[in-house]
Amino acid sequence: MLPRRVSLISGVLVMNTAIVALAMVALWLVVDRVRTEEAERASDRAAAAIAEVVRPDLERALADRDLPALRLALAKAAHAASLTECRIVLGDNSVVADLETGAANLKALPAELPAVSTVGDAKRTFILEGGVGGRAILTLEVPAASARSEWLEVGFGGVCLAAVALLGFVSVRAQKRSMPVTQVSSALSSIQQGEKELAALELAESFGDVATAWNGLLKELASHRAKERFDSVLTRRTQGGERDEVVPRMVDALWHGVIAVDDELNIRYCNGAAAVFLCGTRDGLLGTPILDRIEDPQAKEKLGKLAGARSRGKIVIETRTGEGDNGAVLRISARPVGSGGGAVLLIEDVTQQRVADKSRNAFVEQATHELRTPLTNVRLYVEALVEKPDADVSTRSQHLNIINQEVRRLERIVGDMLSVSEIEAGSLKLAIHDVRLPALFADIEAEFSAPARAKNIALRFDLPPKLPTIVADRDKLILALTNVIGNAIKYTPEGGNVKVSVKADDSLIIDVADSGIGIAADDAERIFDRFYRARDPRVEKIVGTGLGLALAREVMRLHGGDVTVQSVPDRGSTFSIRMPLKAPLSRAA
Amino acid sequence: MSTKTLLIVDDEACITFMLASRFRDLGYEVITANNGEEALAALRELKVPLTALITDFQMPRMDGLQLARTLRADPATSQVPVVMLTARGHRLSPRELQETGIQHVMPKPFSARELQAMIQEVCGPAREAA
Repeated sequence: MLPRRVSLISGVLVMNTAIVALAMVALWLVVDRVRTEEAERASDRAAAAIAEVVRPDLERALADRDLPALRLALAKAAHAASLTECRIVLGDNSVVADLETGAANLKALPAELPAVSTVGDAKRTFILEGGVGGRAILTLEVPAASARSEWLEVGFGGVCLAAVALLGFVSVRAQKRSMPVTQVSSALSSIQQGEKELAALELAESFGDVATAWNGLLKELASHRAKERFDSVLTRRTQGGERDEVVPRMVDALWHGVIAVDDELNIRYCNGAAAVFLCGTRDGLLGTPILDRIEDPQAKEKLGKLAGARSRGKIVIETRTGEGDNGAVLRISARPVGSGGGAVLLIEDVTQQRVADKSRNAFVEQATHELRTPLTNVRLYVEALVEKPDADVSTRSQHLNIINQEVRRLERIVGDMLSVSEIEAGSLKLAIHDVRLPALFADIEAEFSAPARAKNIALRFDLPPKLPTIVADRDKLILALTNVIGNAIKYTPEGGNVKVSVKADDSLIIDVADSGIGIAADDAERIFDRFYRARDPRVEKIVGTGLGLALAREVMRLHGGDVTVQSVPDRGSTFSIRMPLKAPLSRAA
Repeated sequence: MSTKTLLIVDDEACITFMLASRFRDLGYEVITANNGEEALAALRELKVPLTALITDFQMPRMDGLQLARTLRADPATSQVPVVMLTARGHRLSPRELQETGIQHVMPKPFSARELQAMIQEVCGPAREAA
């Protein structure tokens, strides 16, 4: 924009300068001519005046035929008037007297003067009457008048300066006046090049009326454009059909399926997500009955009520599509548009929600089971003690031991359940204390020796001779350990072995290796997801909440560590529980 | 006089131990198993007819329902009454009850004395005239 403006302005300047220069040359020529003519006229007038002054003396000398007097009078006049040329010529061209004394060729004036045939230049030559009809010609040349020409030059210089000043003034004014025009012109070319933002093209108010008028035009154009846009959207929305672009593109981007059906429940529109949910292509679905896509007879019947607007309210159905693991649970909400407008259907994939619901229900059921079992034991053994107050000491102590063990089990289950709800609520916190590792492992060993024996599993603890006291949340650490070791015993077939090896230097590393069923590579990371249970038919019969490993990992991560697994299917798994011993603990806020 | 034989199946060793000692004290012959599969194996070893089955519902490998069905399907044991112990709030449908021959469902936690009364009601006292 700027170079263009600059070139425009400089072009105007060059042209103006050229015009002024030409005008000055022309003016100079005219002035020069006037000056020359004026000088000539002045010298003519001077010559005439001198001639009038000297004429009586010269004519008297001619009449007297006194040649020396004539020459003296001529010389006096020439000297007085600083003449450059002065001579007297007779009719036969003989020179009687001249400023140059050598040029005179007559020694004496003739008695009768010869007739004069030509006078020559009338302005500088004058006739002298020499008496008795005789005549002579006086020629005078006066030097040019200089004072008058200097005045002319000063006047001319002044005129030139005035002209330049005027030109400067005019061009500055012109530039000032042309600035907004230049701006408007560049704005127009921006619009032509596709500039859509009209506000960017507005001129500053300092540019005056042109800017105000231009800005007014822009505002008018903007409001016109806005109206045009609104009208076109309105037209599209009311007319629908193929010309519609913006709204379907937005609906297409939705992650929920959207379908519009007519009164006969034929699909009139469906977005990309809907096509995926209904396992078809958009072109293939258009025009086909929506009911063909629903397998569940009950859902079909409910949805069928939409036909012919027999139902006015919202209908919500849930239906399964696909088979097995690829299956999905879809929730279809439908509502009639009214007055023959068919209906609109929203399809949501609620598979994850249903899986989570199922898992949560399973957890509640499992937790109930887990609580009832130790409770049953407590009740049975307490009942036995109450019924037989006189039982022998060993029986009594055996019963009390079992009761004690089962109460501990209850405690643990309740702790687990609380931790689970804390994790669910995102508020699991650590209660940090000194934890004596030897005592902790002794407790764990005591807890698992019975279940391991029951399954004939060799449970071995490989502990270093000296275990330190660490800083951790004892209950949560036990929770993580019992979940991992409990899993190892649970998923190891009878006669197998489970080895717990502990290392404690910079970090506490507890490896729990089993000779169990192993974990498929696909499941290895997902087993740490809440409610996830491996899809192994051998696992299905084993009770579990699908929460133990999620809990263990959560707890260890709060301690700044982690739980990881390495596994070979059918050979066994090794779970590694790690936590740093020197790094500061991350305490949950 | 013939001895009545009870089969008690539960994956909880404490429960089978307590119930077995109680019913033995009452004069019943008791065999125990940890799960359905073990129970069937024990039955194959059993030389005398089984009087009643007390089984937990949820067990690894073979659950109580499947065990009851298997017994029902075998003519030798099809008339054996079954008492189901369950820790779940599980309600069996009438059809399931008929299919499996389950006469009573005992929700955990239960009282051993109640179970004892139930067994005595189902199959009479431990010893009686043949």
